[in-house]
Amino acid sequence: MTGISEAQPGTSSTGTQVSISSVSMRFTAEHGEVQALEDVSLTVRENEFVCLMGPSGCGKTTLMNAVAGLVQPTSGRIEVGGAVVSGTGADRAVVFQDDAVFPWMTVEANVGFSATVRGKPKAEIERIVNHYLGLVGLEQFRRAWPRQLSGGMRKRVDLARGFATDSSVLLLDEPFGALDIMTKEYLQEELLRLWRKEPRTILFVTHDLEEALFLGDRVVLMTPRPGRIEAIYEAGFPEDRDMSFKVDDRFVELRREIRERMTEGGKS
Amino acid sequence: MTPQPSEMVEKTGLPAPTDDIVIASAGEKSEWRQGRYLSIVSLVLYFGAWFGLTHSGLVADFKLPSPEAVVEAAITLRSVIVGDILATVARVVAGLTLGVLFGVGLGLLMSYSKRAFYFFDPIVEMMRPVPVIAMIPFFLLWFGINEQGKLLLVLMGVFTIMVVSTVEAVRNVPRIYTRAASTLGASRNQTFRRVVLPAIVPSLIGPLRVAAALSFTLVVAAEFMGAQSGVGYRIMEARRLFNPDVIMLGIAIFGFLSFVLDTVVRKTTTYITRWSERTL
Repeated sequence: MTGISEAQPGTSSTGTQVSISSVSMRFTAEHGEVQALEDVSLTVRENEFVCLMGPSGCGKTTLMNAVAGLVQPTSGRIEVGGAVVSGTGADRAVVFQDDAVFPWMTVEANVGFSATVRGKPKAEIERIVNHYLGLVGLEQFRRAWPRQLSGGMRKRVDLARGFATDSSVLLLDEPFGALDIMTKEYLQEELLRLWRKEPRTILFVTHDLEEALFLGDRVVLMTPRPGRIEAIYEAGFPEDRDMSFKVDDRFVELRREIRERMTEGGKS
Repeated sequence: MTPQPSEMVEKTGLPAPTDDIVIASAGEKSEWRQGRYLSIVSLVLYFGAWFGLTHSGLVADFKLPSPEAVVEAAITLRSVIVGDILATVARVVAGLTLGVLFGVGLGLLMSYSKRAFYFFDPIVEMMRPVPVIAMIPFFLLWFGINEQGKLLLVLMGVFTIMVVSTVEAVRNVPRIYTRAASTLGASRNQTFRRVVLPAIVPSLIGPLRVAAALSFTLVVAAEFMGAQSGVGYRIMEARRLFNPDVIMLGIAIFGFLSFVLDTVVRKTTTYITRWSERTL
């Protein structure tokens, strides 16, 4: 099942969730115009886990911010669930690389934030908080302040807060980028487990090829200057994979293949 | 006036506490060992020097009253002084509270709305560099020696500090928090109330303490310019009647009052920002 796929792999009854059509983005920087994205098109199915992978400056974060509605593309259009994106919305929660857990709220207030601002009744908020705190295993820390938690635990709060929205789409921008390798791998497994229990459409930005391959159903390889999609790989490894799968032949083989493609791209 | 060594010790970076109870006792011990006792030494030296100087005959009584003379004055005047303290404290508390409310309020409005910012900014910037004390003649002209003038003086001084600090504090709120809030479905209004507001509190504590100290200075100025009660008024009266011991008593009361107010402000804000790293 590995290789470059141009067309949409038609699976089951799930529909298109995120549709990015011919999106280009130009910035005016100090030293002239920067073409951050050039004619990027990508379709993501419902509940699919797609990793945007590439070196820094390839526009992967810009693309994600455009889907989040934090920036507007210069041309092209982005649709989520059939509606054109024109700003941020509760259907697209974002987990950032930097610590964005609100330090002035307890863990439970953070996880319940989205439900609270969307005016859910108290009992419903309580239920949501309990459910997601349970999923990330932080029930006993519900009344703790974020500063009392480790970096990895704060990230779990952040993930729980993202999942605790009603968002059909979750946008994760290098969420584990600032963590040590042990914590990072642990959280990768956690995220997969969470996603399997509570399927969402996930766009996951990373510059870490192993991370992208381990997590994604598909890996979208992007190249810089101008930022565009170089290739799309089907990963789709066994559902029950854990860290040990990173030395599996299939994993190693695909990693080698992509690595070569990236090196070629660097030379050209 | 009174140094706060305990605070300095906290800020010089003891290792991050892991267990509140253990650290609390360890902190006290090391604070003492680090030289807390020197605070007592300095107080003894300070009062000793004062006592020695006034009893040596080097300085005339009317230029520097002795400590006992001040204590005597306090006992003789105790009934009037209590009324003076209440009058002064009422002015400080009222002026400070209103000044903070209006200052923070306008600062928030100016941060929330660009139009409000462009409308109020020139006025605030025009008022800011003017020492409010320079307005005293006008206040006398408008309000005589009534309370309104004194209140307005304190209010204006506090207001200008708080309005500028609030606008600045909102600017410094990390964008990641407001972005996260909006992608989690919070409206602009909700983001402001639930994210911006709590996020600026720690950076308003410094300005608030400065404003609290300033309100005492302004109350003295207001009471000097004309009043029928208040610690500042008592000092001016003592100057006229040539009672240096009462002047010194007034100064001591001001020192004590502003220490009490600062402690209240510090304790309250430390509780409010207990989520923040700075309270550790």
